Amino acid sequence: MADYETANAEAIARIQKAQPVLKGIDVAEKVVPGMRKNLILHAGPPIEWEKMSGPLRGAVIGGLMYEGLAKTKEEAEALAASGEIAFEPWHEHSGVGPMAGVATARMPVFIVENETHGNRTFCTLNEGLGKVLRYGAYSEEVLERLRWMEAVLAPVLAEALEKHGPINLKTLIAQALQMGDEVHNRNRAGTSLFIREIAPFLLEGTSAVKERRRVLEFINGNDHFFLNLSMPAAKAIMQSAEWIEGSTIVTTMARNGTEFGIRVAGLKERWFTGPAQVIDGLFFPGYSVKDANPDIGDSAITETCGLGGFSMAAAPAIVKFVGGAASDALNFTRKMYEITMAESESFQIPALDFRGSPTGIDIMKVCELGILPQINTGIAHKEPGVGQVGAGLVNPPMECFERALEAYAETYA
Amino acid sequence: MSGMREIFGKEVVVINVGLDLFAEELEKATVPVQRVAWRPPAQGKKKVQDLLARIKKKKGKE
Repeated sequence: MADYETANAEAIARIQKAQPVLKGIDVAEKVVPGMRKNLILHAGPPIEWEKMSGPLRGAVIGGLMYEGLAKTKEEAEALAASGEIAFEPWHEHSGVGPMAGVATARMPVFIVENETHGNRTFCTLNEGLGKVLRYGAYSEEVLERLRWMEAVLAPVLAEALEKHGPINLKTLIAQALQMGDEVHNRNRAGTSLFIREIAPFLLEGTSAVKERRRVLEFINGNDHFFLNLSMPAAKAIMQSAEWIEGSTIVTTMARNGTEFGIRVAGLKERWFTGPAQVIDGLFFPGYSVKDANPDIGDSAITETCGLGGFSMAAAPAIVKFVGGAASDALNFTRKMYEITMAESESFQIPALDFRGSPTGIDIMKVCELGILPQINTGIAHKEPGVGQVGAGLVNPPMECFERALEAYAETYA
Repeated sequence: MSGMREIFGKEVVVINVGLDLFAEELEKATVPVQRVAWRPPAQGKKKVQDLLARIKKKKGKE
């Protein structure tokens, strides 16, 4: 067996070489491994219906109604509790989902392929802000938008993507970092760059002009559209380090609104969990911390990959959204170099003299130094159906890392 | 602190390692202090320290 330093060097080499490329869009049931009609995928580590938080429950209700498996909230709740529906983490199906992260069989998904190592990852298309499924909203307005995304957005974009050919997401993310994004809670540059790539090919589309115009307006009206591309790209990169024997590098950080879970390259498929934390953030008018659900979503895959909170120095403007001062953004990134193994060869931070972003979280460093990964995140209302109430900063619970360290010692030492 | 200057013959700068309390008291007395952020390994948790030592020892044997 390789020692952890050798194993980690191999993991970092694979992470550095990974090339996530957007290949297309298709229906989840056709392309996501193991996807089936009675399966609901969700963010974070495994969880049963009884333990789900409000926003995740709301998203499950909406998902079952969208899928045509239930007509009302009550029917959906009864079905979810009946045992006939399986709930499994997106991460166990090579995918990621922002916030509640709920995906069902007929939802369209982006297909991202790591061209270096051949692994494929998936993510649904971003619905925008306000009342949306990922924050647990399930009203008719939410379901109607999801149906439009399935019937119009996905096929129109899929056609344009096919005409364009594969889009290298690593390159787009690298450019977005130069333009003030960190591609977790700031995706304005990434979304703009994506539009620049896709717009000429939308013009060549065969659907009605009115539909293509609405697709462009929808993407342009949603600064977070690129999040659902940065996430599967980050997943594709980190998946390339799974499951390297002996490695102590974190390949997954994810939350289901009740628990925070991590997975480690050398501890195949095992989750190490602790309670999801309360987010310290800025709230939209009329809301306060009393309304907030604990930390939720797979979007911490960006931080796992050295983006998001780890690259906040590239996105000082984000502090107006998540709180703090611009100098804090620089300091968060500087601190993350202490618990990571390498600096990205692709993702560079202008304000730090183009230093590569801190990459490859090492559970040994986290435990030894007592420094937790820095995550920035949206805040969901604790009741289903309300939506986003703010954004802020959060850390994982230390016990995730200590439990992983204990399992590592039991396995290898 | 003027007495300190007399003893050392020059300005004294204090390096404070770890707890901020000492640094804060000196700063109140206008003594220049350089703070070093230091924490005990593994937040002082013996079990975690032992796990880390075990893993590092195993590597040392290979």
